[in-house]
Amino acid sequence: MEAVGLGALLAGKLFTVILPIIFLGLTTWMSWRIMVKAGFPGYLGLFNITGIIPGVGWIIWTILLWVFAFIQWPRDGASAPRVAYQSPAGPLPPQGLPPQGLPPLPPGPATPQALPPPPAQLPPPTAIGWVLSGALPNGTPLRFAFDESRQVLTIGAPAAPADLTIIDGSIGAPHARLHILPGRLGLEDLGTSGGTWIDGAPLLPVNGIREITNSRELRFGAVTLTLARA
Amino acid sequence: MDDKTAFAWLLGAGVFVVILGIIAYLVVMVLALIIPTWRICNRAGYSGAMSLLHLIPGVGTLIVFAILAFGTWPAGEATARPPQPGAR
Repeated sequence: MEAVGLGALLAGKLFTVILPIIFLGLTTWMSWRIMVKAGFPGYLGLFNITGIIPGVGWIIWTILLWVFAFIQWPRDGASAPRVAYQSPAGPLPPQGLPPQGLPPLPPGPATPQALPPPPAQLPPPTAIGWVLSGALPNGTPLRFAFDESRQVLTIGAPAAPADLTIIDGSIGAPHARLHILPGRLGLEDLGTSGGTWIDGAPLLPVNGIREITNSRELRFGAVTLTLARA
Repeated sequence: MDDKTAFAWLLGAGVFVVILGIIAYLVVMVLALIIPTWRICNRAGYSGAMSLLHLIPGVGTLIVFAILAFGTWPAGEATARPPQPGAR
């Protein structure tokens, strides 16, 4: 009798209590993950719980959804500290490299080592081109040569337009961006799950553009490339 | 007014109310949910049209949330991690 009573009670509460709680739990879990992917602390996903407030809950929930949609996301790197670039050759073009004395990497979970400090004095621009060479994980050789005719080159998988295309599952579309100035090179990670590393140190979207003029090894996902002057 | 005419009037009014309700539902959905979700999907690298899944009653919102939460964002995520050895 008790079992039947319990079953009837559960059936009676199925649509009014049990399913809404499951729905709320699922959506809150998803909100947590979405927040983390956007670069926010995951607990901000708990805003989803406001939806159960009687009466005005859905209005608050909707307002917070709008706020989330239109505010700056840390993933976009807009909040990363940037210092005005002082080029010895003249004023900064619209998409220039950051200067010497770059800000350190913020403390993060995936920071095995700090990026090496930039050189006190950059070498004079003697070369007019760069070469990225290496191989895919399956052994296929890769070689990209580019000059300074363009200021920005996109690196990515063929799923989206990219200037330097790498066919590998660990490469995002787009994955990273190279910023080119006379004799200088910068790298910006675009936040894909594969990740980007400069000489073994992770480059995060919040780091913005990092100078790689004197760097040797760049890693995009599972693909490691060596940087050299042409 | 005979019974037939009264029935026709009632039927017409009922259909009108239902259509009005659907339009109101769509307007509220578009203004409240689809516009911000469209932007969120775009920023994640998905097509903004994915936000139209909100129009599926009941599970539409769940589907959009699930794709955003568990799919790999084409525009990149803030949770970059070094790939595991042997992983692709």
